[in-house]
Amino acid sequence: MNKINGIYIALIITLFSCEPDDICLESYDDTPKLIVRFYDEITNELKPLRNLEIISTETQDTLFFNEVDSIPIPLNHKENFTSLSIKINSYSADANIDNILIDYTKKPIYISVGCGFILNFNINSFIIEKDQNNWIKNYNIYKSIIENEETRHIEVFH
Amino acid sequence: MKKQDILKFFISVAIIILFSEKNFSQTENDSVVVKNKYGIRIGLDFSKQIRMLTEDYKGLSLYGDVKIKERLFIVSELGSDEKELRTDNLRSKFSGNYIKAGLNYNLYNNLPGLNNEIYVGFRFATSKFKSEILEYLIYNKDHFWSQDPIFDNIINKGLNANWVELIIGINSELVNNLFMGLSLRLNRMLNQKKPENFTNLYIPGFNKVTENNNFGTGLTYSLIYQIPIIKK
Repeated sequence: MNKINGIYIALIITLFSCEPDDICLESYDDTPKLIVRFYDEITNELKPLRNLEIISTETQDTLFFNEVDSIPIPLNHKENFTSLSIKINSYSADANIDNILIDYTKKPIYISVGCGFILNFNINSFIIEKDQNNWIKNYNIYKSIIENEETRHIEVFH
Repeated sequence: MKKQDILKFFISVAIIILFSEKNFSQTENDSVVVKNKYGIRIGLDFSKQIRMLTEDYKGLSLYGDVKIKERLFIVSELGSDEKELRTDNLRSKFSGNYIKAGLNYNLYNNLPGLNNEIYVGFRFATSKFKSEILEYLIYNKDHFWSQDPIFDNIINKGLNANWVELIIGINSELVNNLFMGLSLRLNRMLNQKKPENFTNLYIPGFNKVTENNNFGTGLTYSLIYQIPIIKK
């Protein structure tokens, strides 16, 4: 019976061996952001903006950029739209705020057990609220499907 | 390894075991008359009931075997599993039924009159199941928008999987006709039907499926009762 006892012990030890951790590895790409690039309204060449702020209309949370010719905008994953204020030339006399609304459909994409799902988006419309002095003169939806951050999705002319 | 190679391997092992049987016979010319028990044994895998105490898990597994030769048993197991998996970003549930069939070969040389086994065996197994995504978070490295779970309840029905199991185990007779069994299993996936936009994280009968890996493990702890039919 000694032989059998030994096997019992070996089997019981294996019973308590650990399971691998289901952690989310940083190497997975997360939910892609909307990439907006800024162009000159006349020459159609890239034209950077200074002291740019993106303010969520819902939460008033803010992202700040010093000097950029393109920005990544995180889209609200709880709604089918994102409502933002984009302020240029912050902290100066010629500050200008434009309100925009991005309307989209969402598609969950499975990544892994640790990371769960990301979203891909399909832009339906990009709306600029009219005011006395819009700094956004025009826009163009360059790529309506947001699957990655490799290219711009929206071109904004100012 | 290809599916065919695995099949060939198991078939040759089975043939070797069947034809080498005579070399192991120990009692034919003994002067002592020994009663060897034949018959159907039925059992219940209690490891599932133990898991139900500590995990988000429900399961039941029935066991049956028939001794066809001195050392050889035809074994069948059938059961049902329901397992909920939780990680930080995902909560999902897998449930379904499975059936396994194969052979056990007893390596243990019993003293006359005893019926213990230390065996090796294999099973072919198939499972039909469904998965449910109960809740998930959208994976974002920065949290500009608050991270609230999304309850979509996406159900994927009609999933299936086939695999083989290599087993080592023991069955020892506690009292007359009642056995306690313990087995360790290495599972090798042959094929599985995955749903679109999700994967099989758990398969009833196979247990946990790790990503990019065809192997799994299993363990059973059984109580087995022998229904005595034939005594030679």
